[in-house]
Amino acid sequence: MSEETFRIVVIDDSRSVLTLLARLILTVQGCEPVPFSDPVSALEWCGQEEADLVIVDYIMPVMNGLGFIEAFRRLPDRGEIPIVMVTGSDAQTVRYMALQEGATDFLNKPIDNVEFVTRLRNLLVMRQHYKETRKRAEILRQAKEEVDRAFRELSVTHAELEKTRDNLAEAFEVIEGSIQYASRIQRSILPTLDVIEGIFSDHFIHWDPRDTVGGDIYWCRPWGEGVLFALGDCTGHGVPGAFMTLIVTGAFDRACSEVPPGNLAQLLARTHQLVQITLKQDTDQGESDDGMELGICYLTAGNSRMQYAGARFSLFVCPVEGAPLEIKGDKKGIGYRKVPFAQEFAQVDVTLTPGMRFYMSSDGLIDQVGSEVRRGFGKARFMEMIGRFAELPMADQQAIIQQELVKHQGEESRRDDVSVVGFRLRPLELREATLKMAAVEGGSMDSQVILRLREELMGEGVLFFYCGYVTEKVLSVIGETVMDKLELDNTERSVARGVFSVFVEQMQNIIRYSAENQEGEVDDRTVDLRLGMLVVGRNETGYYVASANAIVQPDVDRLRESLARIRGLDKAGLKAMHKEILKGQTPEGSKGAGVGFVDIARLASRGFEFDFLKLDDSLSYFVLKAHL
Amino acid sequence: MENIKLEPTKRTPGIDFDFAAGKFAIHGESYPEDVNKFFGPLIGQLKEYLAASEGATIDFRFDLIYFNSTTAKILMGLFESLDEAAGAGNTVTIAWGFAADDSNMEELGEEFSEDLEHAKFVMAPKE
Repeated sequence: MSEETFRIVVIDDSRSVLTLLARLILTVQGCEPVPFSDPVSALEWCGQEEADLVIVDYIMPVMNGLGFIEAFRRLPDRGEIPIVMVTGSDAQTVRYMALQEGATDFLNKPIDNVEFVTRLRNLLVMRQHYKETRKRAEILRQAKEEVDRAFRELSVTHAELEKTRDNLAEAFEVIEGSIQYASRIQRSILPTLDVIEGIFSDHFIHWDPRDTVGGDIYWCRPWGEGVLFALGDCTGHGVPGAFMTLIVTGAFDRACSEVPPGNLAQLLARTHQLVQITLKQDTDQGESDDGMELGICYLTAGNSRMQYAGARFSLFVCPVEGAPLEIKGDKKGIGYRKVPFAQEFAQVDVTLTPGMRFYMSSDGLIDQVGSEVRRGFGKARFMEMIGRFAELPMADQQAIIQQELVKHQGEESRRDDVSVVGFRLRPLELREATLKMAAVEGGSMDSQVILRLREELMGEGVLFFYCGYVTEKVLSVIGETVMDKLELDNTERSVARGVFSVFVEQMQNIIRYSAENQEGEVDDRTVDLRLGMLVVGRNETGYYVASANAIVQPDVDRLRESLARIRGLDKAGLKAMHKEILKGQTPEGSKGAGVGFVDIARLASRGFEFDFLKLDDSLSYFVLKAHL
Repeated sequence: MENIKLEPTKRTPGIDFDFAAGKFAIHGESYPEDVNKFFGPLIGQLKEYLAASEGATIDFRFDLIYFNSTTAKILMGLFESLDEAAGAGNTVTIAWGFAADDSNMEELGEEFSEDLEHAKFVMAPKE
């Protein structure tokens, strides 16, 4: 039993019984008797104090035991306190009544000491259990109250959260609208497509601000005799980055008008100074330590010359053959407090070769962390990628770069604005020259013909094209040119010899057999000049030599037949035919498939084709194309 | 008979005919503007010499890099004349020089030599 004291109320009008019971109670550890000879007083006490057990006599004056029990049970919170009534052992009816009123147990008179103490102990064990259960119930009740209170508080918080969410949505809508508007402004300072398409034959511009607006910017504008193309990456992204792009655009524009065109290094230096002045970085005042990384290409002389200057920015150059090169800029940025106001920058001449591709990229691509590969995209990977792009149109290249970035990024968030540009140069001099020609001729000439012709020739991989009269002298000169081209092309010696042999046979064929001629003066002699066409080109599989000249209609069928026969022969057959003609008495100059065609057939390792195109009633155009 | 020595040009081969010693050489490239004008007199003198030779030792060496189809016709005639001379009791040796990697020139040499009946023929590849 616990150490607390059980208070036991005893009510009996007999003093001697009271004393006896009190003494017995005291023999039980932890019990304290509270004796009353008067039930009314006892009831009053019990209303105020909590007894642990009540022992009440049945027969008493004023209020008997039953009356007391009834009154006691009516007291508030007194239903659970055990009551023992002391009666005579034969008073069975009284006991039923007492039970009805709420008695817990009975004791017989006269009191048996041992029984009394035992019953007392049993009752108190029950009482003890009851009190402990009640205590636990209290703890539970308090806990429940805590939970209820917390829940009520949560409900309040939830409501507040909903309100906050609504507020946020509203704020977001306002900001989103504002940023969309800002984006329109930012995009409007970007160069228009026609300016860019004027200098590039093919290009892509991947400009992708992380937050609708951003700190990346590109420019394309005329400067003196040339054109500037630049990509910049300002500090910050989002709205602060966009602010910076407007500031640096202003600085760049002003620098363009202040610096004499051509001095790219000075243009960069002046842009730097103007950014510092604008942001008060040249003084101790001003809070901004922002700036920009910038790369500028300057194209002059009809795109035949290029200069590059960079401020912590690289230009990647891909020749048609070989690995990409990186031209690194200076290590200083544009703006920033720590960069000296008088900072100088260097410019480099870029050696141009036909078909070269150029790329610039802000660090958003290179530095993007991947979810699977836990590091940046990497410059080496970028260079390896563009190195593989030689044959691809620029738009396809952009798509691949974008795919690779998305794949690399995976679940990771975008870190920065991403800008990548790639371009091939358009040889401007041809276009400008033809436009000038058109102007001089009063616009009568369709200069577009030249562009179309150029496109056709380049599309066919033409190394050399000739259309006109063919003499032995013309053959010599062109032959030398063709061999030079093959040498520049690093053509295998045996292939070059084959191409040259076929070329000679085709040219001499024109000289001897072309039915289209004009009179001309060679070495003061009037000669018959034969007209023809010659094309030497290169495609995916190898080289080809094509010639064309007019022949008279009656020769068409015979020539067609001869060439078909030659084409049907295998190696041994060709050799036999070759020897037969060499040993035969067929004089050179006679009509028909001479030894030249057999030679061509033997040399054309990839076969030959021919066609006859009717020019008019008397002439057809004979075309022969040999593949090596 | 007077010896003939012509320096090679871009389109005509070098000629070295030493009639007294019986040593003949043609080398270089051959696609003359007028093949008969260039080779006609040379072949004429050579045929005259061959017709007059008896029991002579004749060495003929070709070192051609390139020749066109009309030259080929001349060369075939030349081979035939030399073989006839060998058949007439002269000791004729024809050496065909060509770059070892030039299979086309090698095949042409073989083709020219195929019908030789009397003259000795030597392939002379050069590295």
